[in-house]
Amino acid sequence: MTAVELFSQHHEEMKTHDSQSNFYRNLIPLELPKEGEQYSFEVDLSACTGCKACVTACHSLNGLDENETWRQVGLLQGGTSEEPIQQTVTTACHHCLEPGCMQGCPTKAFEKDVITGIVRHLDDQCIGCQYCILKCPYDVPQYNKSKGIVRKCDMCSDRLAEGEAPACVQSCPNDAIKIAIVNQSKIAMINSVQKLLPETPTDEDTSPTTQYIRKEALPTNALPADFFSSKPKDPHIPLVLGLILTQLSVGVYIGEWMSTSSVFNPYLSAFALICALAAIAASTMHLGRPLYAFRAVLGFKTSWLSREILAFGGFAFFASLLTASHIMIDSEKLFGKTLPFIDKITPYLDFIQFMAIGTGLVGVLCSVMIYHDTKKSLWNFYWTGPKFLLTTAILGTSTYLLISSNAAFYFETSIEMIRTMSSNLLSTIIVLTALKLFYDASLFLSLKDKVFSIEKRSSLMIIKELKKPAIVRVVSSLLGGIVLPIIFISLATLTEHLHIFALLSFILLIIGEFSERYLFFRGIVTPNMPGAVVT
Amino acid sequence: MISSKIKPLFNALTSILHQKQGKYTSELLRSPGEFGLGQVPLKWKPTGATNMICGFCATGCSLKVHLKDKQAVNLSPNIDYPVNLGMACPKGWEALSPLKSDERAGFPMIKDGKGGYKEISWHQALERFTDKMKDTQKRHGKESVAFLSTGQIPTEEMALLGALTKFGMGLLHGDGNTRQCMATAVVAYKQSFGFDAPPYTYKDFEESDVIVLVGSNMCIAHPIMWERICKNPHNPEIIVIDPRKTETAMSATQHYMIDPKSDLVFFYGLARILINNGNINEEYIAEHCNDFETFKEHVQDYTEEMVFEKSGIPKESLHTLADTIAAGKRVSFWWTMGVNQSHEGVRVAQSLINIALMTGNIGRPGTGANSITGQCNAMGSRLFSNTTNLLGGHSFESADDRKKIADITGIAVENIPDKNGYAYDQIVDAIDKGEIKALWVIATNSAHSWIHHNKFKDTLKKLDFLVVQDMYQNTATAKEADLILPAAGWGEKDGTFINSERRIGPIKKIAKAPGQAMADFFIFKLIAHYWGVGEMFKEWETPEKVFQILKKLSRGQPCDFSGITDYKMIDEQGGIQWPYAEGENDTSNERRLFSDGNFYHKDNKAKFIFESPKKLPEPCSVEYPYTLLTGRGTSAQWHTQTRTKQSDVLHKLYPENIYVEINPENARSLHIKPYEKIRVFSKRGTVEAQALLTPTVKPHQIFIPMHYKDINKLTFPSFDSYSRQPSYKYCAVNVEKIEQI
Repeated sequence: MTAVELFSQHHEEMKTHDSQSNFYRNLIPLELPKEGEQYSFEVDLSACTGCKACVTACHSLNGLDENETWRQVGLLQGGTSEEPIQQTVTTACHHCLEPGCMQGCPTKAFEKDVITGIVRHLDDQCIGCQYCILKCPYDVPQYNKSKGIVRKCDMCSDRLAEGEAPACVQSCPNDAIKIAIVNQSKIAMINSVQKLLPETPTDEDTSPTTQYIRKEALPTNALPADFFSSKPKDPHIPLVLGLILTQLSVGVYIGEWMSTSSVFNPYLSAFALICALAAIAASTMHLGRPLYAFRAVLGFKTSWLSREILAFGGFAFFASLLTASHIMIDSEKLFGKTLPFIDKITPYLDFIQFMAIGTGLVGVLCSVMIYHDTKKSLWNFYWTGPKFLLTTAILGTSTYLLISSNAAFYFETSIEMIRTMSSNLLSTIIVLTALKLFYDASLFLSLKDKVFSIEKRSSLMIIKELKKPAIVRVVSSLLGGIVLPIIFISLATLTEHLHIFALLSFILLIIGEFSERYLFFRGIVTPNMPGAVVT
Repeated sequence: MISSKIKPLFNALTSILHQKQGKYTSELLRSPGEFGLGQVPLKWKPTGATNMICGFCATGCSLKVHLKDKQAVNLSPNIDYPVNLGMACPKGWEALSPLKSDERAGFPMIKDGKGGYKEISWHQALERFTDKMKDTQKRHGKESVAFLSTGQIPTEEMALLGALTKFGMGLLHGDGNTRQCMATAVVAYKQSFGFDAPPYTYKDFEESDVIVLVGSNMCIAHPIMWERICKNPHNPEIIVIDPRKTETAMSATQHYMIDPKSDLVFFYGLARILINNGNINEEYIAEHCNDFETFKEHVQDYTEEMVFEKSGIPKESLHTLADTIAAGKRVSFWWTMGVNQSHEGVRVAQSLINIALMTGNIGRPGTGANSITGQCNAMGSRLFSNTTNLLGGHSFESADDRKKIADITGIAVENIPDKNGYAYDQIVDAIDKGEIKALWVIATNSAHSWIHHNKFKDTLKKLDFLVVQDMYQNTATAKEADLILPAAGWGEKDGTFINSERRIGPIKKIAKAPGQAMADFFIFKLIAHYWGVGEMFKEWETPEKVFQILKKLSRGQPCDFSGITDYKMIDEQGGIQWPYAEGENDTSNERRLFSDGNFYHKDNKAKFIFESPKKLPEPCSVEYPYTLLTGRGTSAQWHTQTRTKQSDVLHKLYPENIYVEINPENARSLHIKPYEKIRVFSKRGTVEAQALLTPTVKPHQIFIPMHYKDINKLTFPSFDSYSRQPSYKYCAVNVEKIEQI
């Protein structure tokens, strides 16, 4: 008999009895929550000494992937040299009353149990868009790259259903984690007047139900150990592309509408449509499970992401119609053939254009709302709205100039017209670019503040860790949107090279806008649960 | 009829649109685990389970390994063990992860002459080992070969190594890394009590009403012992004596932030107050102790003013502490590295022993002068490594002891050395001087953990031949080796450990070692064979057989455990503490020593030992005005991290790169911002680390965790004169901004 066989036989007798229950019996509720109540985590901070067994127990007892953890332990430090304070804080999911994850999910892949209040993620419904991670003020859901979905703490609901404590509750040597029953309206009221802990997000929005208890109050200068260490976040490149290209596309169609001439419409519309479709492809590539993207409209009742998808879906439809119409109307000029049903189209052209621009603008506004709705102050309407709308205007105008000048040059048509329009277009670009650069730069006013505000932290990160992309952003837009146009306008000799200048300017502006959007994602700083020391 | 076809179709369509079940949901399904477990992940549902002692710290928690087809798939803490009562710290939970690393040594390797290594066969490796070692001995003498061992292999392996080297190979010098953590406690106990005997059982944590923790950050270093304190129903005073406001100090009822290394003055001053207030147990002293009167006289010099001057603790506070101890019915004193790793650690430990003795706080539940051990089997090393003590806690210098060992093992008494060999630091010096030319390092990472790294690095280069036997092939020390022998780790071999409360517990083979890596036990057996002394160790066939030999060696000693039948008995009883002699009546599973007041000296009395404090080996100066403190960073890191960094989860639970805790006042005057990279330097070396501004460390003191390789570039090589333990916890440094160009 091997030693292993010998010893494991002895334990056959203990087959059905979960001996650990002796220790966690008074750490979980004896009965189910009633109406208006739910389960919540109750953490005794005075008992938590930061051993982090809760993290590893959750990992092992739930069979998580090698690198995956659903619980985290952070640190608060403060006080004075005479009375120093350090406090470890353990956190998993807060099973909020109004979960941000659930509200933002485009595929309705979250549900909040009616009886227990546990917010559960439906792993097989998930398409891996990761919006829930942005919507959760506490970064609770974890993206699992190999599976293409997110996963998160479910308060070990199966265990609780059988009267067994969640892994973290079972494993804390100091009994610091309990499952309590809370009154939901009481929690909502508490959250409307106070935060969970120093530097945590404003809680009215999602109303977390976790309660942190401590014998003595924390000192007022208590700060998370990672407060001064901002790390750039995920750039979400597919989303950067998607946003830039949709905004460019919508801008072009608006430009067409505003323009007095419709000569270049086929070219403009075709280019804009390609960009729109490329944007949709790029955004879909952001998904962990793109094949299930069709589910993304399910959440339109609550999710701005679903609404954006619907709006841009409509936009793609009407933009295609519009582009097709423009091409068919000018088919004589383009292909030398007149199509017979043109007369049937022309009455509806205005309507199609209205719908295309309408859905496009609604789409862009939904894009803005997607980020505003995350309640991250640097992503609110006042930062995001101008950024996205100015991208629409700047890139729309620049593309208009690019396409029309190059179409004019290569197909030798209406060259004079575009040259006349060019100074208007270039002036528009100069003003809009300057406006946007100044507006974006206003963030750096916070650098002079003594207080380490969110704005200041983001500004510092941009000038330090994100210095290179920041320089690219400013230099490209400055050159492409202001310097080059001014040079062109001032020197009449350059007029015949308009199409080249337009191309250069366009490329530089694209780089500039792309960098702006890249910094938008990477430079985000938000209040969060206290993190650990991070070096 | 139609609806019966439509419904499933409808369900199928709905499920494509909104899917509640599927393969991803199934991934996380849980099921009852059986074997006394709650729900476990279904994919890892065990078909068997077995319990064994964790291989990290000396708390000695029992872990239940979940087995599927006899291989380990998962683990959780064992509920039915008197040590950890169903709990474990994150290292224990992740004990299986380090086994699967890519950095495991799977094959013997030698330097390939091009800066790398090449694999060789075991036969070649063993021949090379014996040839080079014997050759070195021929040219430079038998004692020119030495070994450095560890506190993290089973006792059976330690004994075999110790016997093989000293009796079979003729080595004289060998030590273990226990020198770096426990030697002070060993010597303190030996001198005071007559034998290296930590007297407590963990139940004492629950039974004490005044718990004094000296130089112990228990919440981080021994979280499961802290668990036992949490279970104490007497609402005890928890008194922490530590220069930093550690996690443990945060949970204390009283915290004395004494200046670093002012311990001796502090505790003598404390003793003086207790004595002068009459808060001593005169009866106990008279019956069970020697030399109290001289001690009483000695402490009179340590007035409240002197204590305040040296330690920063004012008179009122010192009296509060004294009053608390006086009022306590069951006062216990616990210490670990803060005391042990000091230039006068032995005397500090004894100052605590003295207070326990004179207040009669020893031998009763909830009392004691209790040294907490560091490594999982340091206790086994102290008794059976054959380094400072002859096997079984005997003395090399005693002819009677040598004869006893010779008779039990059947090894000729001439083979047993009649004197002690060098301690770790003396071995390092001997290598430096050219006295020792070949070194065999087993399961320890000296190139990271030894003090004054820059000198050690140079010293290692002077060796003719360095053999490193380890689980991993790229530890800092393995990278210097001429020959690497791949060893199996915890979970891949059998044996026993002894934990901090003297409890013997089993470890078992529940996984296969990678490649051709072998248990150290069998590597030693093979070396014995190749060396030509296989016959000498004929009876040392398996760990279980060696255990029987150890039993015999322990007979008649204070650590006598000859009453334990075999491994099965240990497993069934939930670990067994020594002493457990034959005919032992007391079968309670939580026993302590000295309940009858009898100590191990010939007259059964304990001794009061004391001495004037020594000068600080490297005091602060104008050039180096900061004190460097070192210690444990998190409970997710184990020492030099050769194992813990292999676990992805543990890796997330500690700061990746080296950092230094500095007081915000100091940072402000130096214009150092949070997380800024700064330079920390001593006379011996420079380190760049990120600054963590925190008031938990006092002004002009800084703290750097020991887990980062560079830390020992700074430390100062002073050693306790009695225990030869390195003093890691104090050296003089300076701190400066790194100027941006």
